[in-house]
Amino acid sequence: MSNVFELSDWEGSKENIQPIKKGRNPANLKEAFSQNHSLAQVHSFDNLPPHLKQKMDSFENQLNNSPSDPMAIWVRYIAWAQEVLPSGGKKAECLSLLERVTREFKDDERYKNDQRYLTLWVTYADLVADPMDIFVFLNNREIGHKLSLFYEAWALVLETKGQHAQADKVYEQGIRRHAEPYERLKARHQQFQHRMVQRMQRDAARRMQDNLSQEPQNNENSLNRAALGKLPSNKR
Amino acid sequence: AQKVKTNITLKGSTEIVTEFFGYSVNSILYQRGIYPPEEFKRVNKYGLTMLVTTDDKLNDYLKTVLGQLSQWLLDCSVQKLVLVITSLESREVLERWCFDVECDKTFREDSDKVSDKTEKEIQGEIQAIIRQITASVTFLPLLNEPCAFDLLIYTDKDTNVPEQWEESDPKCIINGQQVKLRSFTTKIHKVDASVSYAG
Amino acid sequence: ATLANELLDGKTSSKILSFKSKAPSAPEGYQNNLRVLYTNNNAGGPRKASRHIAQTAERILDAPELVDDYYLNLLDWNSSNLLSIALGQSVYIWNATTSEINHLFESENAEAHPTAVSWVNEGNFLAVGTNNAEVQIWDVEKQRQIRSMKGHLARVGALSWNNHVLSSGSRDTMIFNHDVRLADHHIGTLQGHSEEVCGLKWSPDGTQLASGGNDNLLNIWDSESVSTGRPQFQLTHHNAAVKALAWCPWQRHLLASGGGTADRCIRFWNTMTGACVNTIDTKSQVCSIQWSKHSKELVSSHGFSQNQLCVWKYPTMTKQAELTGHTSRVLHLALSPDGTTICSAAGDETLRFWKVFEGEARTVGSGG
Repeated sequence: MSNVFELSDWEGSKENIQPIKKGRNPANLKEAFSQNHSLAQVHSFDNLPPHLKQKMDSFENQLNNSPSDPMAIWVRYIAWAQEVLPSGGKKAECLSLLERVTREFKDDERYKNDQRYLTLWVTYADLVADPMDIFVFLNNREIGHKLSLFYEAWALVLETKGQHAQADKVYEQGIRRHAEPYERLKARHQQFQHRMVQRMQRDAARRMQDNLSQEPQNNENSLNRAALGKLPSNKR
Repeated sequence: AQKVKTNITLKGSTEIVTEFFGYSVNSILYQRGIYPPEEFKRVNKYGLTMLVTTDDKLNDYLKTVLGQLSQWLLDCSVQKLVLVITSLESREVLERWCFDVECDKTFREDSDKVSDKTEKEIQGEIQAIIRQITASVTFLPLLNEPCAFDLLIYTDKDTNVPEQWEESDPKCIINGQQVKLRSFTTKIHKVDASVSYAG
Repeated sequence: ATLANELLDGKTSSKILSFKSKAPSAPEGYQNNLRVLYTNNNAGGPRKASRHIAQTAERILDAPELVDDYYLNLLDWNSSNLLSIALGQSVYIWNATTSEINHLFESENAEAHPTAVSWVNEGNFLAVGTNNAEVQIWDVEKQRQIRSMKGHLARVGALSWNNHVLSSGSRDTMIFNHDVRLADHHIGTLQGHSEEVCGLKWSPDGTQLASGGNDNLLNIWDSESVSTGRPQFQLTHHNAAVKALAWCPWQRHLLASGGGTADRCIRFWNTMTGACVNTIDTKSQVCSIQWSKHSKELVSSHGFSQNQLCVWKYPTMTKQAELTGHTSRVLHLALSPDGTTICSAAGDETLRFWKVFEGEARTVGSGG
C-alpha cells in the first residue's frame, strides 16, 4: 500500500495515457511504460503478453464457474481492462466487455437496483457517441430506478446536448421515485437549476450584446447533413 | 558552465518558496477543476504560462495564508504545506497534495550567508514541477462532485498558534495511492512534492 | 509507512495548522468541465456549414501494426502522389495514383523500428527516423538506403525538410540540422526543449522552423537562432505536449499548433511577432493539423476522447464538419498533392481517405 511511485516514470509518455474517471493505479502505469520501447506497448486484447493474458483468462474462468455474485467479478474485470491498455486500445476494447456484461444481466432481478451494475451501464454510456437510447432502455426496463446515479447520469447527458427541459424532468422523476441517495439527488437537481438560471442570464446578456445572433440554436439533433454513400473497400 | 553568483539568502529563498506555493496552489485549483476556468487569468512566470485566480475572495485567502507561511519559512519552522481537496457532500478527502519542506537552519544563524544556486537552475526545477501538476490528469480521478479545498501547514511543535489559526487533523487518505512529483531546492529550502488520492 | 508517519509525526513532532476562515467555495451549480476528457458522448455537431462535406471516408486501407504512439510521425504524402506509412518494423509506399503497394524496407529488429517518415520537398527521397536514434535517407525509386546519419541519443520522432537541410527532433530533446549533401552532415544543434521533440515543421518559405515538445513548449527558430542555439520565440501557452504543427500555405508567418490531453487547444500564431492571434478549445487531444491549400479552412485530428476529424473555417473557427469512423485516436494526417483529400492514420490500424477540400478553382489570394 505504501509503495511510492514517481510521475517521472510515465511523464515522457503522458500523451499515450487516456484519463479514466476513477483514476489509474500508478503501479500499472509504471509497468506499462517502464520499457522505453513503443512497439512493446500492448495494443489490443488479442496480443496481451503472457502474464496479462493469464490474468484475463482467470477472470473468464471465474465467470464460467457459475459464481454466486458474478457482478463482483465483472467489476474487477472491467476495472482491470480499463487500466491494462493505457492508450485505450485499438477499438476501445473495454466496450465489448461492457456490452457483454450489460446485456447479460438486463433481466436479472438481483441487479436491477445494484449500484455496481448501474455504474457499468454508465461507464458504457460514456463510451458511445450518443447514449440516449441506453437511458431510455434502462428507464423502460426499470434498471436503476431507485438509484440517484441513474437520473444524474441521464440528466447530465441531456444537459450536455442542450435539452435542458428534459434534463429537469429526469431529475424530477428521480425525486418522485425517491431514488437513493435522495439528498444527493436533490442537491444535484438544485445545482442543475442554478446552472440553468446562470445560462439564461448569460444568454440574455449575449443577446443584448450582439442584438440577437443570426445562427439558429440547433443543438438537439447533432449531425443533420446527409452522408455520401459508403465506399468501404478494404484493400491492402 | 559559468558560475553565476546570485546571493540568495534565507530571505530570498523564503520569497522564492512562498511564490512557488502561490503558483502551484493556483495551478492545482485550475487543473483539477475546483473553480471554473473562466475565473482564472494567464500570467507569464517561470518561463511558463501560469493560470492564477481572478476571484478576490480566493486571492485574499491565499494572500493571508501564504503571508503567514512566509513568516514561518523565515523562521525555518515549516515542515509541510498540504493542499487537501474534500467532497462538499460527503466531506471525504479525495486528494491530498503534499509539499515537504526542509530548511538548512545554518542560514538562519547567519543572515548574510548565501546559496550558490542560480535563479535559472531553480526556475528550471520549478518548471518541471508545474508541468507535472498538469500531467497529473494521466492518473488522477475525475472530481465529479462539488469540492472544497483547505491548506494545512505543518510547523515545528513549539510554534505559536496565531489567533486566526487552529490546529487541524492531518486529513490523510487511508489506503490511497501516492505519486511523487519532482522536487526543487534553493539549497536553503528543499521542497518535495507528491499527491495522494483515493483510488 | 507514509500514513503511519503522518499520523505519528503529525502528533509528536509538529503542529498542523489551518486558517480558521476557509477559502470561498466555487459558485453554486458549478460543474467540473473536465468531464469532457472522460466521455465519448457527442455534445452536438457543427452549427452551420457553408458547403457540403462528405462525412464518411471515401476509401479505407488496412494498416496493421501501426504503432499507437502519439509522439511519432508515421505518415506523409508527396508531390508525386506517393504516400509513405510506417507500420511496425516496415515502411510502405502506397502509390495513390495506381494503388500500387511497395514495401520499402523492414528494420532488422524491433529496436530499430521506424518512428518518423518525411518526404523531401521535391523528388522521391524519403527521410526515416528510427527508434534507435538513426536518421536515414532512402531513394524510393531505387528502393535503397543512401544515407544513415547518427548522432542522436534516442528515438527520432519528428523530421522536416528545408531544401537540402533535414531537421530531426529526438527524445534526447535535441533538434539537429543535417545538410544531406555534405559528408559531415551535422551543421547545427537547436537546444530549446527539455523533453522529447515530437513536432517539427519548416515554414513554406524556409525562413522559420517550428518545434513542439513533451515539455509543452512551442519554439520558433529563425536563421539567427540557428547560430545562437536559442529560439526566436519560446511560446508557453499550451498545457500539454505540442505535436500538431501546421504552417498556413496562403498566409506567410501564420502557424497553427495543437496541444495534447491536458490542453486540447488549437492556437494560431503570428510568427513575426510571437503573438497568439486566435485560440479554440477543441475539447479533445489534438494529434495533427492540416491546412487547406486553396481555401480558408483547416482540418484537425483528435484523440481522447472523440477520435474524430474536424473541419474548421479560418479565422472564425466555426466547425464545418466532424468526420467520424475511426475507433481509436487519429494520430496522423496528410494532404494529397492536389489539395483535395486528407489521409488519416489512427490507432485502430486503418488509413482513411476523406474528400474534404475543394480543388484549385477556388484559390484564395495570398495575404488574405
